[in-house]
Amino acid sequence: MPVFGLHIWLPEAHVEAPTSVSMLLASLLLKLGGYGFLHFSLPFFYKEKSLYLVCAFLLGVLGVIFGSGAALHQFDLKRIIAYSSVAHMNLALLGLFSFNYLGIGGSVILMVAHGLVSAALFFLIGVLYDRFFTRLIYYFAGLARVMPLFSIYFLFFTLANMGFPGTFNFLGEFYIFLGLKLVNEAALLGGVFGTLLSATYSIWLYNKVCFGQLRLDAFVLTQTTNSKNW
Amino acid sequence: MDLSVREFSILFILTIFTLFLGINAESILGIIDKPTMYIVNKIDAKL
Repeated sequence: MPVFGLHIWLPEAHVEAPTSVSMLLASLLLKLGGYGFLHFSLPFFYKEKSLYLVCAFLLGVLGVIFGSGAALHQFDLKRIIAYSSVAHMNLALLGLFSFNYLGIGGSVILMVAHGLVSAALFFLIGVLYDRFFTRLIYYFAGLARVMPLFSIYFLFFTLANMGFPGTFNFLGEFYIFLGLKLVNEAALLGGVFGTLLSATYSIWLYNKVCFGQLRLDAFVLTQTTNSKNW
Repeated sequence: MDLSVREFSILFILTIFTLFLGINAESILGIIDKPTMYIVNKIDAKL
């Protein structure tokens, strides 16, 4: 689980991995840490929770804020989604260590939802990489004009990733916040601030990739190299 | 230029899953209620 301070491997692994491995990494491997916390750490070390609870909340809040803030400063699309995963898994960590039904249930929901949504986002970035042979965000602009289906899916999964109401992510984040409200309001404020930042980088990412003036060199590259048409 | 049929299908399935889980949240909560309560009870039993 990419807890703050122990998350450095995650963006590097995503950048080096092919699309399918990134999807599996984001949707399954990250959740194994959450399962380990849920099944072993929480029941085994419940009595000693006063010793590590502050540390866990601090790491979780730092992870949510840092993950979302770092995503705003990346120039590789995969690294943006990887840092988004860091932020969401730290939010799940906050929910797990709230030690109540709402927080733990919300963490489980968020992990399931994030498994679907982050896999889809990595797949969408793989689609871009198949066509443009780059993941650098500087090369992408105005794709809504030439890739409308891609843009619709990208919009949906970006909204889901930021926890838009109606998606499962919203329910998970909402439950985690309800659970945190009962135990630690400072952690709740940190989590809410990190979630606001996640909305910021999600909107920025979608705006950068799908809107703006289409880059002609990228468009010509797409026209000449891609044989995958409807 | 846009998505191929295979890519469209994969994304469509993921979209349906995400929307299904979001819309049927109450049913899903009913499903995860039991294992979550199991964990919470297990933690409380340690007190």
